[in-house]
Amino acid sequence: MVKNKTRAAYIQQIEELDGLVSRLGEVVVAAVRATGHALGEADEAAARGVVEGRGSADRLHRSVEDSCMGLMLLQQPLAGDLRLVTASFRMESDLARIEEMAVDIAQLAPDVIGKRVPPTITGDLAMLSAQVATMVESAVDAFSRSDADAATAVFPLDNGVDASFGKIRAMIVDNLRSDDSFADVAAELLMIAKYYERMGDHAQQVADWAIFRTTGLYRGRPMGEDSLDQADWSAR
Amino acid sequence: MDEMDDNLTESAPAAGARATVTPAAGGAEVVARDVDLFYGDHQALFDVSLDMPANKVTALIGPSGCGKSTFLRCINRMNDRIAGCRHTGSITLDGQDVDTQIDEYLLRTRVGMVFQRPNPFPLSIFDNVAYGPRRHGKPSREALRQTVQRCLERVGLWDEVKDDLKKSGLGLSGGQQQRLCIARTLAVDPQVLLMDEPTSALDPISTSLVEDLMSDLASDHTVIVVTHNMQQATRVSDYTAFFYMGKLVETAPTTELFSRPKEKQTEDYLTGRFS
Ligand SMILES: Nc1ncnc2c1ncn2[C@@H]1O[C@H](COP(=O)(O)OP(=O)(O)OP(=O)(O)O)[C@@H](O)[C@H]1O
Ligand SMILES: [Mg+2]
Repeated sequence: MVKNKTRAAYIQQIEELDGLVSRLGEVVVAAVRATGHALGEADEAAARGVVEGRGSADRLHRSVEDSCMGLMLLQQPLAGDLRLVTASFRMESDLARIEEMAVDIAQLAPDVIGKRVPPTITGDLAMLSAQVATMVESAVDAFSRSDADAATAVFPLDNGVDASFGKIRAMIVDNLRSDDSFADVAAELLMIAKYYERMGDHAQQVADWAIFRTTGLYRGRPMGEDSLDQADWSAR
Repeated sequence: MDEMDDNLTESAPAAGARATVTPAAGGAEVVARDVDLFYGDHQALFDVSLDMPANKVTALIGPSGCGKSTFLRCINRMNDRIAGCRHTGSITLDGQDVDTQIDEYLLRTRVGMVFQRPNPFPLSIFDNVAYGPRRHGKPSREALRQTVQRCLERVGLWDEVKDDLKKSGLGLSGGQQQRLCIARTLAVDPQVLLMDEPTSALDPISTSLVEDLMSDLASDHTVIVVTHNMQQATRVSDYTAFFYMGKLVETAPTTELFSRPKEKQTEDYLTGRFS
């Protein structure tokens, strides 16, 4: 359809960026799932896999950043392309935070695995990680498909994540009261649970970027509007 | 058609018209309604309706041949002088029909035009700016001097040329010439400024001076600018209208049109998906 070579190359770059972002999303989701597996199944190898996989994820993160910056510098994209590039640039950093926390969890996992931890807690952590992974996956998927409704459906999932976090924290506190030796792992377990809870917040941000990519609105606010005009807009 | 000729006519209203000219208090709202335009039996505009608000910059964009210049020329009736060109529908200036309710020469003082290629007259810098006021009135020397200074100051050229007012306008650089042409247009106190790709022949520094000027002039003029430079449209305009094959496809506040156009044709044009 587009015969012009320069334009064709540009469109290919845009499509590549779209693909890179999806790929990055998949890698991050896989890392989150692997941490849950490591904790639930006491699988240290799975945890090592997450730590060792960091390099290739880093390269993907950098590719997305480079692609976004290159497109902005050299192509000055507009309309839907501009929304893709700006949203990808921001979403990449949310995915990077999620990824870092997955690595942190994977590094804490050996301290927990093999210790005397009630299986209800590791089981619930595994479940929490699955909830978070689903949130991230749905948000990334909504982004890739430019589906604002699917992105909106991600937000309520965070209530489940918060509830699971609350429950796990209560169990940790209970165990601390009844078992002195539990203090060894309590801090690590609480940190792990907290990381998952924060991943849920970042997954919501990813959903925000999916909505922005699709509609041009970020939390209801249009791109390029003066913040002074805000009242104006919300009144409309 | 010779651009120079256009510009002479545009800046040279009939003597005597001055009596009816009230100095512009600000820009006029320009409204096009249902404009169909034909060159002979070739239809160049199809049912174009567009509001161009007073004291704002409206950018007209679209691929070559889509009718941007044709539309612009409807506003100051420059198409009248193209044989076989006719249009239906209406263009109004603050509610007055430009074709039936405003004298053509008066219209040219209310609507100024700036072209792609700077086209100073082969006269001195002073006489270029003084040209319009002299042609439709008998301003005193002092009044004329004040007008020339005011207009050259407004376009940021005064300090550069104040010691060379007797030198030819043709001796200026391209960017200075374009600002001189804008000053010449301003000298008859127009309410509306039409600009047809006013910076496409200029270097980036001159371009940004002219862009600054567009934004500045919009405080008391209605500015309508045709541009092929999307970044220019986003930098200077408040509203953007996208034309395609003689039709107005979409118009919206500039930030909205460039970030989330509603029409697929607009999206395809802005993202280079057009074949
Ligand atoms: N004087 C004329 N006589 C006959 N047809 C004309 C005349 N001027 C323009 N046209 C035709 O009208 C259509 C619109 O032309 P116009 O010059 O308004 O387009 P434009 O959008 O300004 O293009 P560009 O970006 O190349 O300046 C084109 O098909 C053109 O060939
Ligand atoms: Mg043109």
